[in-house]
Amino acid sequence: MTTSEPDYRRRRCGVAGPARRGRRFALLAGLLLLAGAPLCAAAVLKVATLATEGSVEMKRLREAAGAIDERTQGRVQFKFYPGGVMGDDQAVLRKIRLGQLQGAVLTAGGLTQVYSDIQLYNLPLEFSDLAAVDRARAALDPLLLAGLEEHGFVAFGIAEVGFAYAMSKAPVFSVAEAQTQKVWVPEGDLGAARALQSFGISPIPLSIADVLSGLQTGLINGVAVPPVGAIALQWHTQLQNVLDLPLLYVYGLMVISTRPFERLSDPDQAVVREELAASVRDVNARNRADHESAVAALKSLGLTWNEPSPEQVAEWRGYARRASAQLIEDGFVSADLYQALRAAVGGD
Amino acid sequence: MTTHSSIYRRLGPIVFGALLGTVSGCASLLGSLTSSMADDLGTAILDNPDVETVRDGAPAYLILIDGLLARSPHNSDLLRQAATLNSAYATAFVDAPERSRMLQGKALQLAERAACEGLHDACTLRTRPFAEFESWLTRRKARDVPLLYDLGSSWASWIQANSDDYAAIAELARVKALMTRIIELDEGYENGGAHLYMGVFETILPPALGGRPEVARAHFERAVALSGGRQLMTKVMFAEQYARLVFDRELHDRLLHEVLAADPAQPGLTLINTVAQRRARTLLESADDYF
Repeated sequence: MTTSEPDYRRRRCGVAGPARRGRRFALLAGLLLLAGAPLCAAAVLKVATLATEGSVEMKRLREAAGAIDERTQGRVQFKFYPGGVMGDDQAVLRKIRLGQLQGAVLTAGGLTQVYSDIQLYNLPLEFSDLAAVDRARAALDPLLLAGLEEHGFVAFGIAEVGFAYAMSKAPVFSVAEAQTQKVWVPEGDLGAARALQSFGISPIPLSIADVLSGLQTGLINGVAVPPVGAIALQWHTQLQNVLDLPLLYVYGLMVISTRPFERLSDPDQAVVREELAASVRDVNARNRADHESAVAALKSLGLTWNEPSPEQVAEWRGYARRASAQLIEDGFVSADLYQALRAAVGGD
Repeated sequence: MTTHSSIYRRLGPIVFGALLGTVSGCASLLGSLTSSMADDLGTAILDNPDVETVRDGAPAYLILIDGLLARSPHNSDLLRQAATLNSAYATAFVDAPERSRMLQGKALQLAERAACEGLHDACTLRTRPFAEFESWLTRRKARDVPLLYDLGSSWASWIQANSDDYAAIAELARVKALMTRIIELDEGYENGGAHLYMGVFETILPPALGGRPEVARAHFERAVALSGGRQLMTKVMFAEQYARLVFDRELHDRLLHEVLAADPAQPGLTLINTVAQRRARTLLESADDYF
């Protein structure tokens, strides 16, 4: 298949939904068939995600897909490709362009090539805490989602992963100390590499699978990662210190390409929006709880949370502001959106 | 939205691996009662194709073993058997999260006590620094494997029951280290069960997040080889955890058809094999939707 058409199949549509509700409806559907009514075509939207089968995200997505199937009487169906089987964000976006997929769950970083303003919340050290995030998101989520839609993707909400923190073997308080560390950056992630370089850090690229052994052998001795990631990947066993300063807000989005989406009828589009938005909201809330549980766990596991002095915080923020200014100057982030962000979090 | 969070909730299928522990635990427990009736009962459980009977009968053993423990609270063998029995019963038959956490918590405590009584310097395994835990493991010998294995499997089940809690997930590294050491010491123990656990651990995360499906595949294949293909649950988990993760339908269906074609009646494995065949049927039925 080489177009971005959803995969239309003559299956179940118009029969499956009613049939579930009882024999009476099945009989009615049967009569319609006998009367020569054509089977309507079901749109099958293929969606890739890194979430693995059995995870809460996948369960929630499958629930939403089930509800959509039911409410559209089988006209809109989903097929999921979990566990990253369709490749990384870049590969998935390519497949969406080729029409092999219609949607995906992607990181904000992955979507920047589509709509670079989507990385707005990703700018370093913009938020002092999650309350600031909530203020910004209440004001700006609708603008970012609308912007993404203008760039060809319908998004159903933003789901947070949490703040990334600097974690290391040795204690780090200041930018100067961070610059002496051997800091990991995900292989091929130019955005992350650029962000670290803006703090004067020369990062060491490794695949995620190699980070644990890199920490064990001393090839690297520092990472910036959300606490849920540090624990899920068991990196915490090799780290002793956390800089108590939220570096970066990490989040993802579920999107469907606008073209196949707009081929659905208006009522069906509304159903898809409603169900998927509810599902993303649930995952977002769940992830907030996970983030807080992971922060608490890292504290109880004996990692030392080092609080930088006000001067050190100011220094970190100074570097971050200059990095953000550069991104705005280079046209990666709109100046007016950035101003709106600063106003929403109550900053300068 | 999917990156790291919640991924450990995927430990689910390992439940069946733990059922292995149930039956061997029962057999040892009953064996310890040193009567021919106990031997007969042990065989009756292990070779019982009626899962429901075992489910309904198991609570009686939970109570029985609590009573025996009250009399011999420092008996390492008895503690170990109590741990595996509680853990496997909860994993296999208890759906209510609260009750599952309670039983798995009890099972892990029993397994810790068993290790503390039966192994050198093993009373603070969960809390000592990770590097010290690893160094303690390197000093373990082949004779320690049964206690290490039961501790590891009870621990894995406890993490599974508490997978909302990152403090619990954080302990998985210790279980992996335990299973890795068991593979070095006696990889064939419990039909290659340590390989089975490692196979599952390596498929919890997708490759993009650091999972290593090919390492998992090697563990699953080794577990199949070590059990001589008699332990059918190994193939079921190979299909569910690995073949589904990498979208290899041919492998998935082949493994599950092999499970269904096999004779479940194997000495000591009839019960687990019966459960495996049920699971294989369910997986095949949902394959068209999944792939």
